[in-house]
Amino acid sequence: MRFGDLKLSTKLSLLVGVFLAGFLGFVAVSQQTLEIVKVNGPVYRQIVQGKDVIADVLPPPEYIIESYLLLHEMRDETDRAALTALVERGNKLRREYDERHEFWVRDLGEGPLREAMVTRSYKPAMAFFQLRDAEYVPALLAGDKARAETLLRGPIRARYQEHRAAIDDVVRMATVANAEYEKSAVEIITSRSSWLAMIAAAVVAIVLFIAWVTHRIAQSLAARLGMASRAAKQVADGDLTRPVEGSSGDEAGVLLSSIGTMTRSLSGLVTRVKQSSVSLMSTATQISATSKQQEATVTAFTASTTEIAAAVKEISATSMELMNTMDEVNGAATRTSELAASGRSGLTDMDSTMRQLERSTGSISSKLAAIREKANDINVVVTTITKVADQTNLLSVNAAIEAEKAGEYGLGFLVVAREIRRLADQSAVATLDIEQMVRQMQSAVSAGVMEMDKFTEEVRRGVGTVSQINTQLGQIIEQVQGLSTRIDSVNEGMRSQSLGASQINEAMTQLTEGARQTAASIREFDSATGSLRGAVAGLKEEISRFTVAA
Amino acid sequence: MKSGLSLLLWAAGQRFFVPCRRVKEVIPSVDLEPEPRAPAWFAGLFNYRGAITPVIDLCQLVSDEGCSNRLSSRIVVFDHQAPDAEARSVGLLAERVTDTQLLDVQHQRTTRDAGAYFSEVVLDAQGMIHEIDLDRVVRLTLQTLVGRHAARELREPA
Repeated sequence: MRFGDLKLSTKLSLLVGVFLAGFLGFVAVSQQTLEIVKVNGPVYRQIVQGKDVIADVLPPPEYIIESYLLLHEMRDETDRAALTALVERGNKLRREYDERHEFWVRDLGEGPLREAMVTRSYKPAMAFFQLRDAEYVPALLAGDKARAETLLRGPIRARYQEHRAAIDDVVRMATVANAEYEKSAVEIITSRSSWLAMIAAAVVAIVLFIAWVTHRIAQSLAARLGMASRAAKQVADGDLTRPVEGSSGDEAGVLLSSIGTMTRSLSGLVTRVKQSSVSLMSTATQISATSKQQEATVTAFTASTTEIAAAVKEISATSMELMNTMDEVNGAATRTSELAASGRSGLTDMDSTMRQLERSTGSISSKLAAIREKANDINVVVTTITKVADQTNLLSVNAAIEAEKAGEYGLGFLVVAREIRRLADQSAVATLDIEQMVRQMQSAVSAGVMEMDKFTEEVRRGVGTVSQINTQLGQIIEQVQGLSTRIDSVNEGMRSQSLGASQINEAMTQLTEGARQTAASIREFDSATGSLRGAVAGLKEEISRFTVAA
Repeated sequence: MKSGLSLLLWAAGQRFFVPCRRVKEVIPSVDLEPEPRAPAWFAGLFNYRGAITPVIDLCQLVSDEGCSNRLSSRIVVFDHQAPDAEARSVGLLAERVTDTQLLDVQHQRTTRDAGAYFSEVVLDAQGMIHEIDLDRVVRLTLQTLVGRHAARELREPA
């Protein structure tokens, strides 16, 4: 959860809480620091300890004990160079003393401590340094150890002790002053700590009061904002039916009244958009239907054009074929004419041959007729012979029967009768043979006559056919010769027709192309209409989220 | 065994014979007058020496086809003596009636049903020859028509 998502009152509470915590922390830290750095506190003690350490270790520049000791060292020194170094060191110590003295003269306040420090200890120190530089060091440099000894034990020592007494006073007075300072500091800290606690309590109380007030303000503000946000949420959900009142004149009230105005105007807008989308939808549907109709029409037109083009192409191809066929026919007709001419000459020869043949068959036929006549004569004779033989046979049979009846008297007659019958049988057999031969001859002749008749007939027919063919061939030759010129004219017509068909074909192709382009543009238009419808539908759907008071 | 001259006949491809003693005369196949509603075997009537003579078709008796019309198809005329009437001439039409022959007749009756008209069988080099029993033929055929003939003779006396 982010800070921005928190409620206003929570935020304010958090703010107050954080401030309070920080303030209390500040108080605690201050108290603790005070505890740490107060006089006689740990830090104070450490600082004092450091000072004490330095004071204990280093020779104090304001106290001339080191210079005093240095004089003793000089007395015992024999080497000249070392002595010079010691003299230099003594000078340096004096410079340090002067610096510190100036510092204390400048910083130290009025009082007995200043008097002891600046005046009482300073005068003997100055005398000490006077004695040393003016008498003691030159005596030593001159090698007059006895005088040096005297000086050291005498006046120098006296000045040192005087200085020492003043320093001891200073130390005593400083210690007393320090104790007093420490005491006052502890008092101050104690009094100030109680003040601090009181101030902290007051601050906490004030902060809590502020928090209470802030919370009240935040609550009322949050209530108004909640109203505003509910109204805004209604609008967002599409409910424009509930009115929003702005009750008060502060910022939240202004916001509420603005939201109410916005809702009313939005409601009016949505109502108008709804009406517009309905009419737009119907318009889009009409456009779509119209474009579809148009597309169908164009498609049908394209199909018809394509069919026409195909038909024209077919016509063109057919006329081409026809032209070729006509050429062939022309060639064939020419050949036919030639063949007919040669056939005609052949037929003339054949006609004469046929006529000769007809004459020959006529003579053969007449001869065959004569043969048939003769055969018929023979047949009559044979029939007569047969009848005679039959009668003879009948007679002999009856004779034999009569002879049998006569008994022994008829035996000789019986023999005669048998002989007669045998003769009759032989003549009958011979007649049979003749009859057979004559019949064969007759049938052969009949067949010959029939064949001859048929042949004659055929020859006659052939002659007729030949003359007929001859005349027909003549007609064919005439017609073919006439046909050739007519074929030429037909060819010419075909050529012009083919040319016209190809021109129509080109025009149809262009027309088809145009129709295809029109169909494509109509399709694009249709898709545009479809997208328009989709957009309107989307708009309608969006708008339908808003409910408007009727 | 009895031997005698026999007249040879053919009918439906079969050979038959009649003893010459029984034969009165062999005459050519003349035109016969047909008898209305007569059986098939009744070939017709003709005038034989002044008497109306019935003719029986042998071929119709043997098979169911009539004799063919040829020169050799002839009518064998014989006398029939009925038991209670006077003898009268009857004609038998047969094929190839052109020869006589001496035959040895065996006295052995055939047992075939078709042989009701036949009395004896003779064997020669060409096979079997049946003897035609002329009286039986007349009995089995013409006597069934006696009534009709009698009526006819009453109406048209000869």
